[in-house]
Amino acid sequence: MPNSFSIIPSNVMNKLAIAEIVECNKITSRYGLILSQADALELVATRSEALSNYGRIEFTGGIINKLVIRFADSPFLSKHNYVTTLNDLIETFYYFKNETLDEISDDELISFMKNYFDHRCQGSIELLQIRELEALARNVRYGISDYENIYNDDEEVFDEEVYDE
Amino acid sequence: MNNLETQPKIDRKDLDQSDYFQSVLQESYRLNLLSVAEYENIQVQSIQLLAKQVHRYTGGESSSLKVETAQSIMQSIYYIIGIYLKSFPDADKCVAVLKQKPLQELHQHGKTIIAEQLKSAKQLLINVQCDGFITDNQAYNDTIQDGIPPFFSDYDAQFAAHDTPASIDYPLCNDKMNLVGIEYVLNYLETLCLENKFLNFFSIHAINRLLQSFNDHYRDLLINIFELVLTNALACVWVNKNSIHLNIEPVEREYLKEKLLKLSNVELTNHLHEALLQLCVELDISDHLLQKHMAEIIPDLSARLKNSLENNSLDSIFISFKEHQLQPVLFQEGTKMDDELFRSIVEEIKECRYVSDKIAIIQAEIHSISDLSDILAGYCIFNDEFRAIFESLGDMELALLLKMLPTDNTIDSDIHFTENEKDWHDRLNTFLNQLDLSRQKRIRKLVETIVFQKT
Repeated sequence: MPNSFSIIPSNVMNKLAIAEIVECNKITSRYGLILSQADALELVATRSEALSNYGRIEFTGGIINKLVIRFADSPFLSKHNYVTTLNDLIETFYYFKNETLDEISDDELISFMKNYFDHRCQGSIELLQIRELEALARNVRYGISDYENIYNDDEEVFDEEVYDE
Repeated sequence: MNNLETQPKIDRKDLDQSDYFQSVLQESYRLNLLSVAEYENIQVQSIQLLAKQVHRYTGGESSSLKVETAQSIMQSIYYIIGIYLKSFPDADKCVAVLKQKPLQELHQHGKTIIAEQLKSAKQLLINVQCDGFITDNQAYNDTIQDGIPPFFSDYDAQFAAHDTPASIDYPLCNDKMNLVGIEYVLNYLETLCLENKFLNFFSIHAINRLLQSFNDHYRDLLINIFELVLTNALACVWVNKNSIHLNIEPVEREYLKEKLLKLSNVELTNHLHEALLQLCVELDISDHLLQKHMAEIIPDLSARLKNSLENNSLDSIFISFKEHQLQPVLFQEGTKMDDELFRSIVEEIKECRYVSDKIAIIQAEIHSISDLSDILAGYCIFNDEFRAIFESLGDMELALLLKMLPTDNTIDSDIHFTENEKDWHDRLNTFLNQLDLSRQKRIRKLVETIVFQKT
């Protein structure tokens, strides 16, 4: 039926996406980070799963590439935790796209994630998800224009009652 | 030489008006007017169109979006294409267009049509607001003044063309509820224009008396005025009376009953058509659209007539004007006391041991009917004390209290009152029913004549 979205064969799309991801190795290899075909396939599978879990749909790829390139220079990534972290980052990304009510653009969200991951979270995905991005999402939902300001006045940001009034 | 016309393969009646594009597709696929390859091509094109619209929707800043949002955008695309396809008189032509032109182009044409429809709907709303038909039916006024105007600012012709962000309460005669979006609003306004055009042949006074006789609470009811007026006008034609009076006397109704009982279903329908024609001649109605809209009432009316003739309830269809209303008694309420004082009085009454003391306080302190009703519902009067208090009141006070009571016709009266309020309402009703008949009658008559005047 015309209202189903899975018209374009997914295997064709996946092959394209995998090729694009592997292509990123050219940039990331200087940091000692390399993704194999199997790794790329895993990342694509994670993306599909995250999209379906969070009730989202994607038309143009590129999120995985953006994450790979943006996070390549992170001091907390090594070849040992590279693939796992990327998987987590992909899932986190789509989760917080929902939580921020689509108010933040892809690039902006990725750049927040990178910034928090490298500094406040010191490479901890848990802290990134539970503390920083949660606070960011809350600020966005409360309609605070200065939503990225989650450090300076923690008291105010975390005290929900202040905004309930 | 005779011109042979080809029989259209797709019957327009089989198509879903709110999902026109999709039903054209399904129907043509079912009848093999589209090959599998063509069908798939259209599907791929619609996905591409969706991707493009999504890109526009997110401003290119987000590669993904929620499934519901995407579905809504998709529906909007189908709706817009459907509007363009509807501009072709027959559905077979639609299939040809679908085969020849890219969807993107059809979408573009659809958007142009929507822009034009929006423009004409805006003009129609102005026409309806200024066409001189005035009524105090709340649903009508709310719809025209507050329900439809926000539609023009809230309607999203790009991404949610199938939505109808308007609050439309006033029902039309033969409302086309299967339409959505701008099509519905445009059709609603066009029909309303026609209905008002018809109603303007009658005096506002006659219409108001008819509505009043139909139901005392006609202001709050969701009724179609056109239908009521047209029905009585047709009955006037049958009894050879000038239709602008609208009134059908009980004797005339009896005559109609005798006359109509003998008719079969077909005869009744024919009879209605004849009366309608005569009415059009009498009122000099030449507008074909209006005539057509008037005729649309016939199938439903003839069924209702048949039913009411069988059940001997013709008075619910052909309405007789009620006797002239008594001279109204205008009641202007005293000023309500402030909350602080009211609370202290409630406390004082609560502390009284004897009901005589309570009555004394009420008589001395309470000067407005709303305060009195608040006291009655204020947890300070109990059981038999109500009776004693009602006994201390005069006819006028009782009538005023009675006027505040919900009647059977008040919609959802049950949910608007607290248990305490319902309690004193019941007690007042019981008290009144126990009064002697002449006083009861006097009080009820007073209730009918009282009109609360807003301060």
